[in-house]
Amino acid sequence: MIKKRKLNQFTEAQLIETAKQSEKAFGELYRRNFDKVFRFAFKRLGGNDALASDITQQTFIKAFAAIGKYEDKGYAFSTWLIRIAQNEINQFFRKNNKIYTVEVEEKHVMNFMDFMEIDERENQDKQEKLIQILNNLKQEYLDLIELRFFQQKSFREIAAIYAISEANAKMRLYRIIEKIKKEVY
Amino acid sequence: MRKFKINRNSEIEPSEEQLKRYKDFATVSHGYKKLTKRPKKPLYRDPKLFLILFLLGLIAFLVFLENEEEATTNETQVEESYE
Repeated sequence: MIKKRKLNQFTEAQLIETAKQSEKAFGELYRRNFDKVFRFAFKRLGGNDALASDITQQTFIKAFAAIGKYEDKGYAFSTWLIRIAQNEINQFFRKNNKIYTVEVEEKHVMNFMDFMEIDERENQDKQEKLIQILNNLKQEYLDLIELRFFQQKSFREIAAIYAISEANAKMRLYRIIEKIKKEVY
Repeated sequence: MRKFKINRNSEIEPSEEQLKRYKDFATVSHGYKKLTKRPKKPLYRDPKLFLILFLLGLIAFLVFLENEEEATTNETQVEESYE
């Protein structure tokens, strides 16, 4: 009990160092980061809670196995976990040949339309047309759009997830947006 | 592969109850142990590995026999030449 109270007071960096040798410390990291990883998987899987749970557990198992190799690059620990979760989800989509439907919130689609400078954001036909264009994109392009606009990740977080620079993340996204714009107009 | 569909009714956010239900470190701990623990069976008990080990042993034995046979032939030839 005393040890648990002590772990609660650890900073993230201290916990990571301790977790390299202690399961209890990793347990504390799990408790602190579970919600973020589960929310991420839940949204990416369109609200399928059982599947999001499986992906989240798998993410933490892999993180625990690889924590010895973790290097602090100035990002939050949760960003590293989300990177693992992202790979797990992509692996899941690749393994399942069937088409998996992911629901996105209407307000996020509207925000994306604002960004794309598409007028009449509330026009459902226009929204559907945009979604149709997105659905014909390569999966890797969809990932970026989804992270930025539907999961509202910052460019800094996206850069950390892909292990690229922020400038590179911005450039990749703007190139995809240009492609979409050409199809919309 | 995935396709997007617009959800016009509700927010896609897990409830507090869902978060609580799925937060279970024991499962992670069990999964980690399963992933990292050594196999219980000794390697030679694995049928495939046993076959490989058996074949390696057999090859080594045949090579040894062949060498023995060659050595015996050489000795006989040397003895014959002395005679």
